[in-house]
Amino acid sequence: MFWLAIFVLTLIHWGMLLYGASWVMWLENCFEAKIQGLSRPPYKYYKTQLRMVNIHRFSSFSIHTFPYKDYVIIALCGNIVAAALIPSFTRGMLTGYLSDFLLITGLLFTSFLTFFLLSLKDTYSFSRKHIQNLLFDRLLFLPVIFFIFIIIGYTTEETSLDGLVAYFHRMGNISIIAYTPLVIAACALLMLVWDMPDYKDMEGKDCFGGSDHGLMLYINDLQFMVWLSLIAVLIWPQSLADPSINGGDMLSWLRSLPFGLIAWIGKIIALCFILALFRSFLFLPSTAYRSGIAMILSFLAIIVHFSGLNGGE
Amino acid sequence: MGYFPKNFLKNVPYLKYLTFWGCILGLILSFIALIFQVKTASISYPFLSFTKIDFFVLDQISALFLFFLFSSATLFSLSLVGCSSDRIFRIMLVNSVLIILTGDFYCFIMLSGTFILLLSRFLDQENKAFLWSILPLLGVGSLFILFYNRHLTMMDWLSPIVITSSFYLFCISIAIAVFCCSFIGLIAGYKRCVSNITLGIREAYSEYWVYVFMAVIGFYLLSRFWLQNMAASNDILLDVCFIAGGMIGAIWAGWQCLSIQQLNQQVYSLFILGNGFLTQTIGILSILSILSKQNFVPWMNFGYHGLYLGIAVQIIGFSTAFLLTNLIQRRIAILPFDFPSTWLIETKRLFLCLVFLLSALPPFAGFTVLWMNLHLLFAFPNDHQLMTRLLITLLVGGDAILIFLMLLGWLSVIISVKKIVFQKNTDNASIDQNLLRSGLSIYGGFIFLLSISIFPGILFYLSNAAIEQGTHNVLPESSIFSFTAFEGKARFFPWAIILIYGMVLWIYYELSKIRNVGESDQLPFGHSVNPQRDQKTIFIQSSFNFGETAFRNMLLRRLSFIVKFKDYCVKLDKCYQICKQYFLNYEEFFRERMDISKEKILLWILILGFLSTFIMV
Repeated sequence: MFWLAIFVLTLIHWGMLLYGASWVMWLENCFEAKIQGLSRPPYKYYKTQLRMVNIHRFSSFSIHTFPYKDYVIIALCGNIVAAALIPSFTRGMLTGYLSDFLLITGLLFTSFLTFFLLSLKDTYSFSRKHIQNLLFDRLLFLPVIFFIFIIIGYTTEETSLDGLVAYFHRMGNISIIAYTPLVIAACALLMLVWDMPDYKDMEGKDCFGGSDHGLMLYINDLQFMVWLSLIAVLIWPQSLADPSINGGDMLSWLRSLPFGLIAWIGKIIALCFILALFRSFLFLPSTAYRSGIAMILSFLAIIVHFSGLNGGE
Repeated sequence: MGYFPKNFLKNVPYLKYLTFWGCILGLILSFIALIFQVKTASISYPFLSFTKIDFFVLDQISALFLFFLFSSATLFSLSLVGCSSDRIFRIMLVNSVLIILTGDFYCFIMLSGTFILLLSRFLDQENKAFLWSILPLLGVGSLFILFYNRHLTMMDWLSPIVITSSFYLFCISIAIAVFCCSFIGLIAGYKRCVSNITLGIREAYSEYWVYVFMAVIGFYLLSRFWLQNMAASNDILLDVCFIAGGMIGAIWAGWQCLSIQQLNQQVYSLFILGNGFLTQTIGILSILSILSKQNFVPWMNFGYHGLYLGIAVQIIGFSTAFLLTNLIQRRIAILPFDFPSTWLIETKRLFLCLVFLLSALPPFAGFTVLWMNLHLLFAFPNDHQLMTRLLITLLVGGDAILIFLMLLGWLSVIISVKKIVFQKNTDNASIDQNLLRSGLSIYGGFIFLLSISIFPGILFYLSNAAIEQGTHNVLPESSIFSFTAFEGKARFFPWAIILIYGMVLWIYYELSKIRNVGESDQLPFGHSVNPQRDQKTIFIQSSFNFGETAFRNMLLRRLSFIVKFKDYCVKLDKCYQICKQYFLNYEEFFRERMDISKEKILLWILILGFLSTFIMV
């Protein structure tokens, strides 16, 4: 019974992330338009995107519209697997053992590289140059990712996100200084998520139109979703439900599940709003600034962690 | 005519396959020695048995490294036609096998000396190869310090009594580090002489196997001596210096990879980068062995597994990469029309697969090495928390730079491969039979890498015996299907991720069969794919090499105070020149006066001297 529930919840989680990705991106765009005083982006556009993104459109895409399908599918698979691994509203899922921070971020990083390889196939230089710049900017975030990996390792002595949630559940009510490095790390990750929908600009250019465009947008949305839920885990780990609470009592776990779901949705909406605010009011045109800010924030997280340690023993 | 003709053995049938079958035999024997955990077998001198010196010793560590060596040698001897019949290849292979098997220091030094002498055959004088060839000799020579104290065998070095008694431990460890790092290629990485081993002019094939054999020997010596030596010396600072040197060498090699244009040099610099990354593992392991002080450490098992896995991935992966580069260069640069276009596409695809296997992209072999290396950092015991954690953050920052350079380097390798492929017209082509053999060996390397990336436990099982011999403390935590740092902590199942990956792909392709193939895609945007693409214009702007002139200009801009200082120096120099001119005008006048009143001046000097002595008294 317990295992069946876990299996069903894993499937629900996976489907929720896969289906809700485009909706979350739409929500973020809505917030942004509302703040900037623009008209709301048409939902029909997203509807068509979603329809294109359905599995039949994938199949049509794979056969004849696009000759270089393998790269895109590798990127898509990487993002789908990352969506399966990351905990959203409960820990202890079937893929909980695999929820290593480095693994998830590595799976997300494959898509940048595969899009660069994809752009090598095309003739015109514009999108390739754009993707090359994008790749270079993303690779500048590698130290940030490694530092966050190290912070998680310092605080919880392991690097899986599942273990992070379990650690904070075990500790109960602890002082805020234990959370602050993780929150600062989440702020550093927000800088990365800042300019996620970059492939939107490529519509109609260099063969990135049509269903290819739809698929790329979908990959982008999925990636956005996974990054957001990663930040959500880092901000408030105790909001996630724990099946091992009260000695593995199933009822108490089921009781804590709705709160976990509500908290996750609330966190995602709040993050979308924060990102819309950032994009509207903070003008940082170059990604180098963002990478610098993220680097400083991640280093600040390590310094805050160090402030809790004693120098002697 | 002669009694013993020159080509005496040349016409014997099947002799050219001798090296290949010998390598296969060695591979099987080393595999048996690893699987059945054969006890240490030693051969003493046949007629000098009273000295009690072991001439050749086979234990588990040497068996493991023989396995790596023979696996790379089989790949090379199968693929390259020249290798199977080349005399130098055989001699170097036998020499490197003997270096791994020696039990005596005199023997070891003689063998390594012969190795370096044979190596000098490939050296290029123009690229400052002299320095590079001298350094290992210096390292070997400094090993003679050991004989100052007493006569030792290789195996005696492992016993702690001997190590603590030796007075020159610091010097010896520096000598080992220099010797091994020059073999790995890190010292060559500091210089711009990556191309010090030139391509063979006499034949069409190239000597990439030299790099791989040298790396095997270097890693063997490091894993045998450096770790054991450091455990006795209690010198953490030297270890930290070793790690820092390795990281700096690796970063320098990665930088070179982006600035170099030739494909083979790019791949070699990536090889150096990976080797430098493994020095970090070795340094951390030695620090752990110092801090544990022969106590029970569960992390050591994990660390040794990671080290041996990294060495295997490095050697076998890069031997396949070298073979692929050789294939491209041999077939395209020298024989442009003797190459079928399908093979070209195949080589391109294989290079792409190599990028996914060897760079740190999950869930493949390169990522497992990175994962184990980063998790080993948490093993530092918290004697002084702040200090150890500061060290860890520094190392992680270095790792981030390394991974950044590695990914960019692999992408630049792909770009250069595409450049080469699209430059040549390959319509008229005929099939070469030798290509089949090279393709076989390359696919063999790929199968090994894939099996390691899915089940890394295969190699853990092989290396377990070697770890037992090294540390005497083994926890059976890592199995074939999963491996953990320690109980209840982070785990990694590469096969599970690959399973999910494959499942998604399978569902996708099954669903794609439902759709009709011929149906045109009606899209709301109305964009269509342009079939005619001019492929040659792609690579003009896409490359990651940061221009040397741009870099220099940036440095000049940032370090402008140096330029200003230089300006001041020039001004001072001008003033000095003016003064000199001014005084030189009076030179003749002074000379005349000196000639006239020479005696007077001498008298004055004497008087002044006497006066000064009186005053002093």
